[in-house]
Amino acid sequence: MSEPGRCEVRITRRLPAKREEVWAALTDPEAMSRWLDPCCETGFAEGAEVELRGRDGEPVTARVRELQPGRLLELDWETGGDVSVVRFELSGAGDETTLVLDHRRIDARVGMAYAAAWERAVKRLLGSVER
Amino acid sequence: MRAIEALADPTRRRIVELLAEGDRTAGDLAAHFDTSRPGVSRHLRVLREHGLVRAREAGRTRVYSLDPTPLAELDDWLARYRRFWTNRLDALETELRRTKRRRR
Repeated sequence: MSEPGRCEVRITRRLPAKREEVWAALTDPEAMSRWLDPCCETGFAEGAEVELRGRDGEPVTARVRELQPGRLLELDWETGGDVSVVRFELSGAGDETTLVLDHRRIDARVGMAYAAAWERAVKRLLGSVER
Repeated sequence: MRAIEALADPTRRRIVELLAEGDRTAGDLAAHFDTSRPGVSRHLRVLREHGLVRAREAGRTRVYSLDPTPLAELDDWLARYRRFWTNRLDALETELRRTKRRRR
């Protein structure tokens, strides 16, 4: 855990598509409305702000922090006054792309994350999941 | 006060850290603090009341240990985030396959 009281979820996926295809699907508003949220009318572009629904249907404002076409997309994920960070990183060449999704600085609320034993357990939980 | 709020206190947090290294007696714990022994006992009682710490009798002394139950709460809570993203990434994968089929 990088910061006390903050958690991280990381997922690694191998996708059967070229990097530019994955990038297009990640950022194009029409594609986003199919995979991310039906309300997406704005795509992820420099400085864009996208309103969508989060984990439990709560409203989320996703603001583009950093964008490197075909490589990196980083968002501020603001919900209920709290801001966490969502990062999509693409790598690989040819017909297969590896996507690493990293949702970090999630407010642990549960301040128990301060404690060492819990921290160890959290680390175990947060290890990246390969599928 | 909720379990999490019980941990807002630095002495209680330190007690939890010490117990994370292994079980300890009240005396053993008190030796790590400037606070009086009853002061430490008071903190231990708060931690017990919130299900964060457990005590067992060992002869004439009481041995304290961490209760892992609240961990499950954090686990559940994070699992919901993981589920959210797993679902979205499944949908992204479907979208990619769809685009591919269309192009063929």
